[in-house]
Amino acid sequence: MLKNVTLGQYIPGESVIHKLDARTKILAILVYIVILFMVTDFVGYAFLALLPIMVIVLTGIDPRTLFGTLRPVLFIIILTVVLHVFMVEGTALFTLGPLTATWEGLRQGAFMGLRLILLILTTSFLTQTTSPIDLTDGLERLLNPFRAIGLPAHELAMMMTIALRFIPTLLDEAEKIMKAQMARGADFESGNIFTRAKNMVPLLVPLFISAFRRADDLALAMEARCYRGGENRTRMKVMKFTSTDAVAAAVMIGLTAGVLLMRFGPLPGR
Amino acid sequence: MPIVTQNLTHVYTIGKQICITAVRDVNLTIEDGEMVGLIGATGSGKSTLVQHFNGLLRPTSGKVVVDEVELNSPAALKEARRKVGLIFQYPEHQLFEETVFADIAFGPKNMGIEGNELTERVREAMDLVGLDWDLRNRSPFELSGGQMRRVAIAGVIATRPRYLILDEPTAGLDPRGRDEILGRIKELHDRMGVTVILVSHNMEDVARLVGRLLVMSEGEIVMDGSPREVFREPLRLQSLGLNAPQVTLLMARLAEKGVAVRGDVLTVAEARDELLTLLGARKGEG
Amino acid sequence: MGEEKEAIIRTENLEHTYSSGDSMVLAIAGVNLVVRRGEFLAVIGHNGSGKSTLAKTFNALLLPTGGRVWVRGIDTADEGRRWEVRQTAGMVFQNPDNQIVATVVEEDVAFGPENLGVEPGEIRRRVDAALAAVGMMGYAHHAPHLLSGGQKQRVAIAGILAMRPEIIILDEPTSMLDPVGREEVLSVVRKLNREEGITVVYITHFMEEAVRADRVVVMEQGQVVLDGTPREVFRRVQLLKDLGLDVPPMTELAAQLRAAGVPIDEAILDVGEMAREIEKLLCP
Repeated sequence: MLKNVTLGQYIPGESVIHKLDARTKILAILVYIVILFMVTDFVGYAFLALLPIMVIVLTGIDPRTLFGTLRPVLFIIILTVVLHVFMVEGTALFTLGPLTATWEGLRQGAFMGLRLILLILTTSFLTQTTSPIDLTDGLERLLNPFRAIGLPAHELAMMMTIALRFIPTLLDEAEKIMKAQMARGADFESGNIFTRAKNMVPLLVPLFISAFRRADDLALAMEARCYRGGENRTRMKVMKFTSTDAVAAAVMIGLTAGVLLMRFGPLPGR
Repeated sequence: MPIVTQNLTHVYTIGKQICITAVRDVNLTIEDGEMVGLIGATGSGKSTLVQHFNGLLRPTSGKVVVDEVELNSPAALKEARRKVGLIFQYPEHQLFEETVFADIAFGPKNMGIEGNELTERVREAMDLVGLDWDLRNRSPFELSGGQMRRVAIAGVIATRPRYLILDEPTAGLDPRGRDEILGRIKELHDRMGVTVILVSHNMEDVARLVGRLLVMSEGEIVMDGSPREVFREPLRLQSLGLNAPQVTLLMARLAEKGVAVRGDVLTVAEARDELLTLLGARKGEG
Repeated sequence: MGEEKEAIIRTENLEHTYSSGDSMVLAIAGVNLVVRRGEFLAVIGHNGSGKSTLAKTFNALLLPTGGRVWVRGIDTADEGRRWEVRQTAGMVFQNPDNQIVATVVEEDVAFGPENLGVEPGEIRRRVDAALAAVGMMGYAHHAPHLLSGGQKQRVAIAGILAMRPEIIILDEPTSMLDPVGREEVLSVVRKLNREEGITVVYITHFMEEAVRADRVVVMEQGQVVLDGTPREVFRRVQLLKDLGLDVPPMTELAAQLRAAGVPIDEAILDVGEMAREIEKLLCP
């Protein structure tokens, strides 16, 4: 059923990683992405792979679910590798018609592929171990300083919350409307892409109308509950950095220092 | 010819582990020309059951037969959707066309009906639900809630179904709107001979309208009989999360206190007559 | 009956006109009404009679286009005190889905007090108390979209309670619910009225709900046409029917028996009362 689609695939848990402040996790991911792009060789990757390994150990996430997160982007990863193998010039490995595979290409392809895998794995940790509500809260608080330059931090977070709240409701509704139209003989399954698109009208129009009606109702209900934007608003849940967050920060500083040393220092690498 | 289900079972699976049996081993025959009420607490399986009658849901096991054709092939399903009209809760939420006419015409058009025949059907459907023909070029979204509901019902009636299933057709309407819709449905049954299955929470309405009443609980049909027979057991209904009409409850209350009254009274008029006889008889004695 | 209770809502020649484009619709046409502190007031009337519009003028979601409304002495047209009015008179709406903002029940209940700038520890206490008051404590961490209609409405009520209102206005809160959900909502509202002394304005078209109020007001064409206790209002069987409204079945039965010459009290509201009356007639 449609409603089983969960956004971000949050897996509730009690691990240290789950309990980290959402802000810590968001910042950590940002730092990780930056240093991931600073690494220039496989030794560096091996070093950076320490983080996902730590997270897996600490959270007890089944590595098989991780493969599940990679599956939708597997095609992109393979395409990246293949493109590199054939497009990079160098020592010929083998030829396939007009295309020549090279050693250098293979090396670079593997390099790029690994970077993508590490990138996707670590960002998915964020959504897997942080509830959507903590994630939006964390984002809002991190973006708050930028309000001075006109960034609508609170509004963005509120939009995300409402979207998350109404996605399941609208999916339910879509299923209902679809059934009602099928009972009137509508056909959503056959025909070429154009007839299919045209056949979606009896589903999409009522769905949009309903979404607007809900938006109207919700706006009124929010107004009745004294909502007037982010000004002077307090929150029930106070976000507090704890010693665990300090440990996480130390780990990230360690990783960054390691990468910087590899890149610019006397350590192996270049 | 009837709608028949044999050992109909429907199981929803959520994720990999959770299975919910929404309909369990239902054997049922809805005869041609009946007006049937279907009641049960929320989650008892009413909606799941009726969605099998036109093939919107397929049985997990068992079968559904409409007019002697089992619903197990695409052709049979198509035929079933033609014969069995299904009106969902809040049907006005499926309106989408620019005019009332176009929206009502959507169903018959999907079934290949065109030209004069199409116009004729729309006109007939609008007449049957009590919508003025002059409204045909209006946008359905400009109409009142009650009128929108009637446009949506007309959209199904215009397909000329032999069986009409209505899931809570009066939900959210005020008393006047409710009586208007129920009156039209009754007329459709009496005048056009359409077989009607009415899913409802309102016991007073069901008691007044239907000839046969089905009670569902936890996916099974647990009671099946005339409203008189079913409502005669108010305690059993209560244990199923349902209530008998108030007049029936009154009679049960009086009977409990040792007053000799009929236990199968369904309407206010019947209750009045029964009480008048009772009080008259006592007066005679005294 | 002792001294008159303080008027917590008062309207004076209240009018409200909707205008869209060229057309004007007079939804409220001169209403003078007093709601007293601690009262449970039901407002009935068919769709379009103006009862919803009336409710929305009680918490400044709509402003009078003529006349005035005071909530606890505050003129709702006073822009500077609008939020005070809305905090005092909280509102629960018809559609259970379209008034829940957050993805977790307790976060939603916290929404109101958060908007009011209440301090975090106090919000926590209010949220817990509000969820307990509506019997939804066990669902604090649930996702709202998986709750039943009655549960969603109770969450909505908790969301209002957490703002510490003196009045709760409910605009057809049960019209989209099944009988079980309707009973859940009505008993919670009655309990809040009796035990917490919250004034209730309850808009409905279910007469069996209205009979359980202290006072019933009937609206027609933007005006109050009947106003009294349920007994006083529902004995006007014919008038109510002419207005397109239901009469509770027992009241109708009493009226019919009386018309047939039975000396029965015509203001009977429920099965228990009717059974007692019949017994009295049988064994005087």
